[in-house]
Amino acid sequence: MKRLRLLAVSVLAVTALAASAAAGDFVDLRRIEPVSGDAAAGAQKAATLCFACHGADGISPVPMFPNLAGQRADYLYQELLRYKSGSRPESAMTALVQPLEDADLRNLAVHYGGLAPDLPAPAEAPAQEVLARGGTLFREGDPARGVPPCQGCHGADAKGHPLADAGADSPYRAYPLLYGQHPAYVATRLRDYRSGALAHTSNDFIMTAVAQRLDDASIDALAAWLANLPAQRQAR
Amino acid sequence: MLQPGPIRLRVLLAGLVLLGSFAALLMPSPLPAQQTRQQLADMLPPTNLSGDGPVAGDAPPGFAHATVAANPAAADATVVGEAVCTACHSLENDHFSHTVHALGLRAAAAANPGAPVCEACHGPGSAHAAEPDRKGLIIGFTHGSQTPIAVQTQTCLACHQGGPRDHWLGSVHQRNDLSCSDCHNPMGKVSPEGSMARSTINETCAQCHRDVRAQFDRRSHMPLPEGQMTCADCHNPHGSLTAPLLKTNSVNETCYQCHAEKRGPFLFEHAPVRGSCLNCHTPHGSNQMSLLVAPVPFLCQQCHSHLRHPNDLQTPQSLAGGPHPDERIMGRGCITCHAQVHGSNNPSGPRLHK
Amino acid sequence: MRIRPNRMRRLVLAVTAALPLGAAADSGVGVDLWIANKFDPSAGAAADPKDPRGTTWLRPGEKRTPTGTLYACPTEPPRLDGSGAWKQYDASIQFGYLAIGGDADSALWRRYAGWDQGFVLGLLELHFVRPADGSYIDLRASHLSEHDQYVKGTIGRAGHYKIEAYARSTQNVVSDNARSIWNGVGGNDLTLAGGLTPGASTPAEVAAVSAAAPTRVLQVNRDKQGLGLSYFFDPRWTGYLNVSNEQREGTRPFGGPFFFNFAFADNGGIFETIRPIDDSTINTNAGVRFVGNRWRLDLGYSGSFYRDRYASFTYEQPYALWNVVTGPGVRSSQLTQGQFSTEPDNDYHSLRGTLTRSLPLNGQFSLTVSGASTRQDDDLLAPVNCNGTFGIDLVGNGQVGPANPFLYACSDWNTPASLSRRSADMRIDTTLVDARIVLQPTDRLTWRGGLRFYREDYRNTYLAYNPLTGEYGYVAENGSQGTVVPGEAGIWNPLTGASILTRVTSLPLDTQNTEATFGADWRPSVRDTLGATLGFTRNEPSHRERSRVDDVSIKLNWTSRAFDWLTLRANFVHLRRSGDRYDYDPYGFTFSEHLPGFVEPEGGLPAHTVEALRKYDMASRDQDKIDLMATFMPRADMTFSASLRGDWNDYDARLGRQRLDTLGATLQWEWQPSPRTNASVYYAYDRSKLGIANVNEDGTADQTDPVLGGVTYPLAGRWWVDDRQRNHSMGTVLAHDFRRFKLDLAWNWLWSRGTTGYRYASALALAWPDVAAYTGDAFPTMKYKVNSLTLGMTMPINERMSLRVFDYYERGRVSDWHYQGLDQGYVIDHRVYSDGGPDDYAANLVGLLLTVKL
Repeated sequence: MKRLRLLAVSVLAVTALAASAAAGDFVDLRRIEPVSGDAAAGAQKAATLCFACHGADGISPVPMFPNLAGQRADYLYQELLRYKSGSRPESAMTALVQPLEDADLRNLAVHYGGLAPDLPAPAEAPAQEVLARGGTLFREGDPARGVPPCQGCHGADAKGHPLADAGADSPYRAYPLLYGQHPAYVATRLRDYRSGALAHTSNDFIMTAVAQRLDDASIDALAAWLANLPAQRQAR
Repeated sequence: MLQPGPIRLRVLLAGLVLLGSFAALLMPSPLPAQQTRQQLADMLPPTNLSGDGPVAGDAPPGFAHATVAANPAAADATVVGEAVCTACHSLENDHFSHTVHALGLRAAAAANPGAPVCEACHGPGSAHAAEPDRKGLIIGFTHGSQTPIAVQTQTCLACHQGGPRDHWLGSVHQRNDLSCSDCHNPMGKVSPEGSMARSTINETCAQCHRDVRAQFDRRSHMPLPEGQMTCADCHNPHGSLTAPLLKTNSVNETCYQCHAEKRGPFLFEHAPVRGSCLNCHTPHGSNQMSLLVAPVPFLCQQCHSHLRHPNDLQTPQSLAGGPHPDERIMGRGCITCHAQVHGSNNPSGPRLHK
Repeated sequence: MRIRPNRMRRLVLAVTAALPLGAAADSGVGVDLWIANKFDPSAGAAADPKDPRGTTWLRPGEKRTPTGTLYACPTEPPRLDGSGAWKQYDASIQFGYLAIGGDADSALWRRYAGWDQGFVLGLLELHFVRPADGSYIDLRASHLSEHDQYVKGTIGRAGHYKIEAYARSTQNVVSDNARSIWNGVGGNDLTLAGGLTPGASTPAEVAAVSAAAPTRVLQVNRDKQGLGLSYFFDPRWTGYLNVSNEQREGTRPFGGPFFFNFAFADNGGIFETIRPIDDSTINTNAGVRFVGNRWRLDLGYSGSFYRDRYASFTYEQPYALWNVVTGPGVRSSQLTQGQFSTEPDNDYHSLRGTLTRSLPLNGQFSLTVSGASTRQDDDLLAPVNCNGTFGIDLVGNGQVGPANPFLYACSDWNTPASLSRRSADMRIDTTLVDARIVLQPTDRLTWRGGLRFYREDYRNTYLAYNPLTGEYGYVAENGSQGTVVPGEAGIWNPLTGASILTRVTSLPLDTQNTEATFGADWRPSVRDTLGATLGFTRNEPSHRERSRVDDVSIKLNWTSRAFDWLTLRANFVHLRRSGDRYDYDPYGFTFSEHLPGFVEPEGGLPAHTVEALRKYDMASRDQDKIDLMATFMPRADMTFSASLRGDWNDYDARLGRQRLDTLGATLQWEWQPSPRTNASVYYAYDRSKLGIANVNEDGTADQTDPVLGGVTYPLAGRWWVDDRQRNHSMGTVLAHDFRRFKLDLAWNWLWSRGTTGYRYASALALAWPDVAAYTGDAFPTMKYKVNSLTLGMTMPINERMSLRVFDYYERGRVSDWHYQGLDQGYVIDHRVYSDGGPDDYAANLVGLLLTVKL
């Protein structure tokens, strides 16, 4: 009997320990709870706080600030958490996010995630070769340089991983939508990955390895192609 | 002695059967409709007893001619190269880099820039890179990969054919649909030898054969739990010529590798010993002394009922301290006098006394 | 379906040749694949820290094998140090101190582990690689004590060559409570200690010497050195060579017969002597392998050479023997020495070649031919090593001659001149031819067929003939048997002992096996595999009870992955063994009854044995085996496995082994929630039942009737024994990395219980009918229970050093009725035992170890 009790206690102890097992030097995005929140509250918050930079409908007027409309809610929530913890390079977001509560972050994420990604095409269509290069990179990658096709994780339509919502435990929930994103923002972001400035989550580590294989021309081509995606859709 | 007549006849019959099977092979046999045997032979590279030519640069011969694995489920895929794989699989690459496969494949790739590394085992990667969520486009060796077991084993066997794996096809593990990756994990250095899936060979076998591993904890056992020997010292899990997957031609020859003193042949044999060690011993573990299958004297009384002393029923009254201490059951029982139980080389040894 | 050429090329079976995975001794040939010790059976692998980042950034947790068990978490990748071409990684030394309390000398505690209190080298590991060309150098060493240590070095280049050398010492402690009445233990000539006079001491004197003797440890130590080389000549040809030399040295309990004591009080002699072990075995394996596109070849040579330091083992015996014949002048001889021949030096050579060709229909045909030869030609010892005379002097004048037929001169038998030949000259040649074919006409169907022919030719027989005296036979039990009972010396004399029945020739044991198998596997869907195999084996032994033993078997197997979370494997075998007529006495030709001049005794020859007895390696039987394995995957980080194994053997025997049933079941649970934590628990249950029947003869009746139920072996003498074993074992391993320190726990529990029960038709069956009234129906339970617990904590001190402290506690309870009562004294009348048997023990080991990264 004593032996059994000892066994039971050890099993329980180990179970308790397992809960803290995920915490480490990095944020493990392979196992996250799907984010839930109040979209209406988020809309209210966004209307007071976020609209100035990111636009009333999540379509940002400034090329440096990313479009948020239709972005994956889990991705947004995790990014907001990173800004709040100071893991991201210093930017306007850092100070703005500090006073927000966790519930606020969730609500914002759910709000923007719920918006339809009706992103506008860029005013000026990029050059054909640049578009072709970007498209090739996105669809087939560049084996000579070791660049994998972006569509593998970001979806053929650049709206996120195809299995992102396959289940509550999908590890791909926080892979962002890239469709129609501002090219300046995408390019800056990729360069930040390449330089190692963004290295705090498990997804960051994937992107760091990918971005290190991209040269400047490839980055710009990709950014241009992604921004131009809404134009292609309209053209059909 | 065996009669020579029937022996010759038997050998002749066996030979005829072999010849017959050869003849059957040479006969036209069903092939895909559009192909003749000649076309098939033309497609295969010619048998070449010499090497495939000089090895380029510094590539080790074992890895120098590694080719990309064939994945029937991704027939149109093209080769992408190691760098594409390690972009997303950077952590796997960290672990893989310290294995012997990485050491060899990368040395070959350094000498020969076109040599495949990841794709030597996983097949051409372009289809998988474009749609990684669709299973089967890359050769996967884990549960749920949707690569058929036969494709997995064929991939490994492309380099590891022959030697200990000569009899894989038709072996009991192959028939039970095991893949190489059920026991091996070459993607990380988990075990010091053999690229096993667990930290030791014994633990790997015990994933399925836990009952046999548990027998080794019994009172008499060979030093496998102590790490001094492994399941693979006696068995070849990849298939062998014998039913219990022994590495030698017979049970006794396996045992003699470490117990050569029992090989003999002795002047006076003990017939069950010459027949098989397993007539009296169990190799994995026993509650009796010396890995015996039954307690002495009952072990011996399974076969001996001669007149006089072997066939009496001994009871606890015959033990030391009882009314009739009897040497036929105390201590080591029968083998206290018949000590040369494995056979005697003494001219006075017909009863294994000397 | 057209097969496109470039795809066909890739489908070709072998473009590159076989890469020898393991050592030069690999999973195909050789032993010593793994060198480690009880201190760390994983040779360092289990202690390596797991990578906290996990396996991949793309998904959490660990992947599973195709069967469904979780892979072990990958270890933290080591850092490569070094600026030159050679980089060092993962080099460390672990050393410390072990403190042992409790029964530190217990044979069971120390059986294969040389635990000694003091400083130990836990593990020294050095690893170097040269990534530019794939070369590596590895060294691993550990030292616990003089007889428990190893060092192993490997130099190689991945895909090119590998040279491995090792030296290891292991021990096997057989007894920790031995008492010897002899001096010279450890050598091959035992003399009596304590002032005992050979051939003239009383049981009380011998018992006193035994009681006063200090307890000693009996163990056999093995020291083995090996060298192995495997080499890739080019992508198609590889070769391997390994040589090992193993020396065994030590002592073990043995025996020594000087006739019955149970039948004659204060007479005879049964000696559990202590024999020396001092021998060496050189094993060598060498071979070449060719792997081509269509052909494969595997040629191998194995040689093994056993050399024993001693040719004989001699011991003095203390007791006086008296004969059962009374009369004026009748005297017994005085016998003071016993002798054994030790195992003969033997040589073994074996060649094996396998040729395989790939066939259309994605198949292959493989032919193996192998021949081996085992020889020994040791000089034979003389049949006896006495001086003076042996046997019974009926006349009283000590003269050997026809008037004194039961007296023999030692000088006629204690010299090699009394042998029909001087050396053994024995040889066994084996031949093996094995052909197998596998065809896979579609990817759903596989046909398999095989033919195997195996033959053992036993060359040479030995005739026990004494040219000095013209007699046949041998000297039984060092001359003692003929000294106690007249006419039982084992010697047939054409004039004075023409009716003596004794062994006069050796028994040649040729055998031949022919085996045919045919099977098919069918995969109706990707989730199921079904297979069936028919087997037929004909075994033709010579000079055994049957000359033809046939096995017909059918095996069915099913693998199912119908559910994502379950892999099920089921195997079933039914075997029926039958054969020709069972001849209960095929050994007549080895006895004196076939000598010309043999005179059949009045009343007839005594029965060799009872005719209804069936020796179980020849008997007909029905066997059913079932093997079920299920692997469940309830959660992504958990595996649950269950297995059931049964083996039921029903022998067609009125006497002999009648039944052997075993049943085993296991449950395993494994949990890996993160790389920092893992837990596993297993439970195994195993039970077996062995049923045998035998019959005791009626000693007062006529001894010539072999039929069960006749006058010699009446039905009233029958008895039965059931030996039942029950084993429960359980174990758990828990490990968690708290970052500041790591905790691990390993607990193993084994509970074994054996009951040997018996029943009998009447008191005639019993060895001692006078105690029939309180004979009961079972022996005391044989027990073996072990409880062991290891608790350890590993704490990094700084970047280079970490400290490990652990406690290993083990408690064993053992009870073996064979040794019951021996604790009162190892000497009982004329029986001298040396080994007191296994004892309970409880021992605790505390270890403090420092690991330094080099």
